[in-house]
Amino acid sequence: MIQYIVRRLLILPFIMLLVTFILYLLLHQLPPEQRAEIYLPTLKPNTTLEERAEIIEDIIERYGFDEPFLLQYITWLRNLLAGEWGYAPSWGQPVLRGLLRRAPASAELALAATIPAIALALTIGSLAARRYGRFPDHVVRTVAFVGWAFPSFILGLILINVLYAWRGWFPPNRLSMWAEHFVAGESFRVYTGMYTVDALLNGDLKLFADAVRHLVLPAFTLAVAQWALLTRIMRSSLLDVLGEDYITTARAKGVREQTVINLHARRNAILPLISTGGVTVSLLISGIVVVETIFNFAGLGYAATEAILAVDIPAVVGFTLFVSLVTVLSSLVADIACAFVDPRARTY
Amino acid sequence: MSSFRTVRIMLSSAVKRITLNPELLSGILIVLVFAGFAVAAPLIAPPEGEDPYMLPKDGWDNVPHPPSPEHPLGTMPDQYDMLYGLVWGTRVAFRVGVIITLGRALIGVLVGVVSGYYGGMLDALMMRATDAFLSFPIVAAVLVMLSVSVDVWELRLGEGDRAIILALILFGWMQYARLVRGNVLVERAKEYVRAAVSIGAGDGRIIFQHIIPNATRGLFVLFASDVGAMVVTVAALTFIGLSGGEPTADWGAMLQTSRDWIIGAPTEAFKYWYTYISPSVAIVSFSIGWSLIGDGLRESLDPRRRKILRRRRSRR
Repeated sequence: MIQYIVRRLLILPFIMLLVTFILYLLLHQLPPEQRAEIYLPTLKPNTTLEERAEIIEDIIERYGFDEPFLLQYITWLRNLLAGEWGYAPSWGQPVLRGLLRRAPASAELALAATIPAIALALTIGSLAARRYGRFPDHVVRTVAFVGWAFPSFILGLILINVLYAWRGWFPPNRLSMWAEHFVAGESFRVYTGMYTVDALLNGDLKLFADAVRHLVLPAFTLAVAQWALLTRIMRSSLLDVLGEDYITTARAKGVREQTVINLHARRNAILPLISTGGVTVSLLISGIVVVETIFNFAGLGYAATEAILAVDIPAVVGFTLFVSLVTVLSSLVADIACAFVDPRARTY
Repeated sequence: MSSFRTVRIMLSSAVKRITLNPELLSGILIVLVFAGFAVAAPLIAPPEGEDPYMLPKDGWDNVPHPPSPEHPLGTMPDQYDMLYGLVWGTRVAFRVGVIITLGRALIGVLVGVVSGYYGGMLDALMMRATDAFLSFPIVAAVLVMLSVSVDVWELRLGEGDRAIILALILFGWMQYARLVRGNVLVERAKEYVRAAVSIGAGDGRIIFQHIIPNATRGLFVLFASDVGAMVVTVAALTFIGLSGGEPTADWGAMLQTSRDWIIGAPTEAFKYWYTYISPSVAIVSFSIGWSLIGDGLRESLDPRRRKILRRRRSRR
């Protein structure tokens, strides 16, 4: 088991290396002047065009943009590892700092969407499998199908129109105006950057309620697609397990049906869900970009859209690196969890 | 048995499989309806200019107008006709969906076959590369391609369509590759391949005549689901603004044009419902149609499901 973890951990940097290589291949298509602009600090307002060109020449020389490809790649990589990710004009701050500041918001959204989605998927999926072919199964299958096939951004639009424009229950943005001012002020202590958690830690229930109210729609929109996918997998996998011989044996032995389901069936059915976990993160991130933009939720996804609309290359590259790292790490965790649960999966 | 009879038998069993499968049947019907609109586009909404995909403008009013006899589905901001956009958008949807999916499938089959057939170091490397590509969330990949293409290939953000399609192809072949590689590994071990090798058939012949026809079985399920998913993805990306300029006949672009009007007026939340209802219905049903086909195909090709059906039946 430990061996497996170590081996997977060793492959991790190799994969990240490939990821950065692919990214740099694309990045390299840009002319040196533009790549130099990535590292351009904020210039004083009176800088003339010539002075700016000089500074860019300087950067080109310093970072070696006119050297052979591999050398440039290595330099770029070294800069990344040193924390030098460039400056993002559309965010008004260095790339890495911008990413880290927006990350808690997206984390909050992701958790608010994924945890209920997983819990519901496990229960409803197994319910459907146990009532195979009967009414609850058909209902679950239809709802899960629609949830998966229905485009999430359109769901978001409809929800905004109905629950916000018409009813005013769940507004967009992360917080109301008064709350925004409050959290930026002196009396509020920031712990995690997630407003719901911080509000609780500050003992402020009014703020907590406000943060939750703003979180509901985006989290729900994200959760629907997740739930749909996980439910289908859970149902399908539990159905497969229930058809296995050892389940029949357990029943023949006289084991109570409840124990059969909980002890034997569920454990084996969970496996496909864990292994899909890695792919789910990737879809979640893509979903977050769209959902945050629709609901004006100031997280990583929203920042990414701002960046691309301004064609802010350092920001876009930084965002891609960041989310790729997150995806790779979560696949790693999913694989290790798989190997933990099922010894047969320890193939590497 | 004559080959004509074989074909007839295959066709009738295919027809039976389709008609007895409600999901598959409804999916195909939905897609056929869209196909019908796509083909009949010039008749339903005659183009007004050189490029049929440019929406016709009927005035300069910034405010959308509700459905009327001249504009049966209403107009978008700046008076673009919605019916026109919807109908020609069908063609765009098919084009986008099929091109992206075909591109993905081609690259995927290439990688999967080479990786699975030759094995060894090449296989290991290709699989690691696949893992690396899988680590890019698709939206991030699209963003990177867009930002690079705006400057390098001189695509204005308005022609981002091509960059988005390219990005979705280049970063979306991995599922196909994995599927094909798995199938190739299975086929490669089979008797008939060994027989072919023993009579001296070269690699190329074995791959093209034997492996590929048999290893691409499960591909259609992926293909069908993907077409719908790709149209939705492109629509979503176009909606959040990754495509500027004059609106073209594309459902996502239509939604993007009407974006500010969706929440309606301060007191009447649904005042401009028509600006987003029809493109939404189009996108949703297109996605559902293809998903039904994908799901239906999967159910009908899965041998294990029948086993459970039989057991259930015998219990009663």
